[in-house]
Amino acid sequence: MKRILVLVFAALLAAGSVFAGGQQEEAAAGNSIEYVSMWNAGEPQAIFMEEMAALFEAETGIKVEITFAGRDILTKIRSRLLMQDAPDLVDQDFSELSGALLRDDSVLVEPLNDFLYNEKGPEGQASMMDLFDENLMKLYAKDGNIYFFPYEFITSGFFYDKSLYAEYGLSAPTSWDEFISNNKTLTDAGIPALALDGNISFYNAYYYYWAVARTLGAGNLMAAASDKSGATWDDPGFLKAAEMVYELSAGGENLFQSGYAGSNYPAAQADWAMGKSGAVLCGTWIPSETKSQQDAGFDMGFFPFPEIDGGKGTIADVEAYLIGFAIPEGARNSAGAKEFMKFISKEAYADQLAKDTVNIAARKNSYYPDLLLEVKPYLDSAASFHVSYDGVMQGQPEWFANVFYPLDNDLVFGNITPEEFIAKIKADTIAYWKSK
Amino acid sequence: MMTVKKINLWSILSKCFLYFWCVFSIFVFLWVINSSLKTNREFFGNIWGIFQTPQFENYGKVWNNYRMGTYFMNSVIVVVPSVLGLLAVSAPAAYILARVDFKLKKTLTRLVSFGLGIPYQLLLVPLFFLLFDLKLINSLTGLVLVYVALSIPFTVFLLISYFASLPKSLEEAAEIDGCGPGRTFFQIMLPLAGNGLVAAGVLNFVGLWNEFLLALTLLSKDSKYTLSMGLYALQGSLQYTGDWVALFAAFTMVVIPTFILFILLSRAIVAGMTMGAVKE
Repeated sequence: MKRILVLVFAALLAAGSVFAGGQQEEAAAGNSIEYVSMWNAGEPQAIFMEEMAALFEAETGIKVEITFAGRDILTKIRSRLLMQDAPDLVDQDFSELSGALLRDDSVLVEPLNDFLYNEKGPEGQASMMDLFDENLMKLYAKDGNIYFFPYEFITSGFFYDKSLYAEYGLSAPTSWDEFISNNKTLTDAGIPALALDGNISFYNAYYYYWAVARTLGAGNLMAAASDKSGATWDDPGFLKAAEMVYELSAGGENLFQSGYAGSNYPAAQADWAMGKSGAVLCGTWIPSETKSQQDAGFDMGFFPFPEIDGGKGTIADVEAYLIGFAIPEGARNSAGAKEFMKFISKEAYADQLAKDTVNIAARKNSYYPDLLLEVKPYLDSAASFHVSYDGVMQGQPEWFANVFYPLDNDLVFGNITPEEFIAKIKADTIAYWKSK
Repeated sequence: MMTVKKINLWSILSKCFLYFWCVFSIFVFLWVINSSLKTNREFFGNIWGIFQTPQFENYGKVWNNYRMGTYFMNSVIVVVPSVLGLLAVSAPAAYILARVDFKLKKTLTRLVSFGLGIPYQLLLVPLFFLLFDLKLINSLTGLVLVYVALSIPFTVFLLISYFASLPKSLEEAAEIDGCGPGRTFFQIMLPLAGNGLVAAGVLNFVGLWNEFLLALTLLSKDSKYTLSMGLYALQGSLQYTGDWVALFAAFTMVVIPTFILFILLSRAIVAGMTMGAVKE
């Protein structure tokens, strides 16, 4: 028995040693790049990246070693960067990348201006920049430098059940009043007009951020968050936005599903996908995320957050939430990483990304999946872009989490009136900046 | 003459609580298995309902597409050598501390007890740097070494009581028959402490099988993830793809090995844990 145990132990130890290669032992060679990805193995984007890596290796001979680190990739990467152990390529949404790697006190990623303006495009375009809307690319620029290279474009708005709307003679609203009227028609018929999982604060935050974008225009929420005196909150536009949100809440017309404040993700969005509510305010990932819950004939429509009479923001101002690559400072094979970025931007692959992942590719004029076709006209007619949550999530993350979220949740749940919201957020913002 | 048993309210309450706890645990476990065999629409349509047609492909999907097979093998590769190595180190140490009198015995025993009181979260940063210097970050061998080292105090402490409860006369008889200390340990005392070793092995196995924080700190390459890490990654992946039933399949996969282990070895575990509890 003892001998058997010893043999088993020795065999397992040997197996352990064989399978156990250290990361530093696998240092990137000249003909390989290390890519640490925000996706998790098995996600459509992860499968796409694996396929791209294989095709890239076949074409160039450069091996792409991918680690699927998941959404908290930047926590892991930041410590590696500080230990001078940078991978060659990372990806994440640009707000996260910007917040983690592009701080005022330390820039931990390489600028890509030379690559974007002087490198020819994959189909012979004069420059890589020709593949994208330049305004979009400059959204996250810092001191004139562009640091990130996008491959996926996300925006947010209302996704609605077209069949349900048609059943009640409704169509996509073009104004706030029409939006309220549509929602009332549905709630009067006993159908929740809006679905919301109240336990996700950043979903709740969509409402107020978008309302401010419509009353005052982009950039104002960020200005209010950054104003140490709190005086910016005195602008009536902020109160108007709070009134819009309150009107939807349990304190106002009560247009969300019953018990929405306590609804746990993904209960409400799953119900919506199964035809139990009218619309959901979410990012363009929602068609893909709810795909396995939708009825076979689920007819999904899209409309942007409605404009309001006298508001400064219009639907031509589109939210841009970009996902893409960054090359960390100290990357051993920065040239290989750039080559991979260029490879993946080919028209055919941008289309494939959109098709396989049911998302929008960042490259101009790419394919749109059926479920997102209704988003296209709004993007095509965009006059300007602003970053998600008006940039507050990455620009003032502490304020956003500790000051804004609690009060915004209270407003969305109808626990406080618009006037109380403004008074409290002004006071809390002043207190927040005093504590700094 | 009939004896009237005194009704003990506390005992009734405790039993009721334990029965409730058992029923609740079994219900949750069965609910997870039931959910793992549904489609997503079925699950969200009626979360308490029984599956219509069992969706075994949920298991195939997480095993193949989401790399649970790799994570499972990594867990086996890490946990089995860790437990065996741990017992190989801890059993002789516990035997010596329990049976042999020497000068520093009490001090060493106390040191082992102190080890139990150190929360390993405090060691994360130094451990990370140590393994980084040794080029053992992202290495399953590194994780095995850490698991063995950090589990020694608990295991030695547990085994001391088993060895201490064995009769002294056995050692004396072995000595008279010409056994040296090594042979006495391996051929006489170690087999007698079998239940204790099984209990220590299973308790460590379960703890290490479910261990997350150290794996999260020391492994960043997904090809090296253990099951708990894989499950965490899978949770991220499946919530973004909306494939929640596959997540239940993964939960079941993670729980099943420890569940089977407990069923197979429950007698030995209970015997091992109660051994030495009373003097007879």
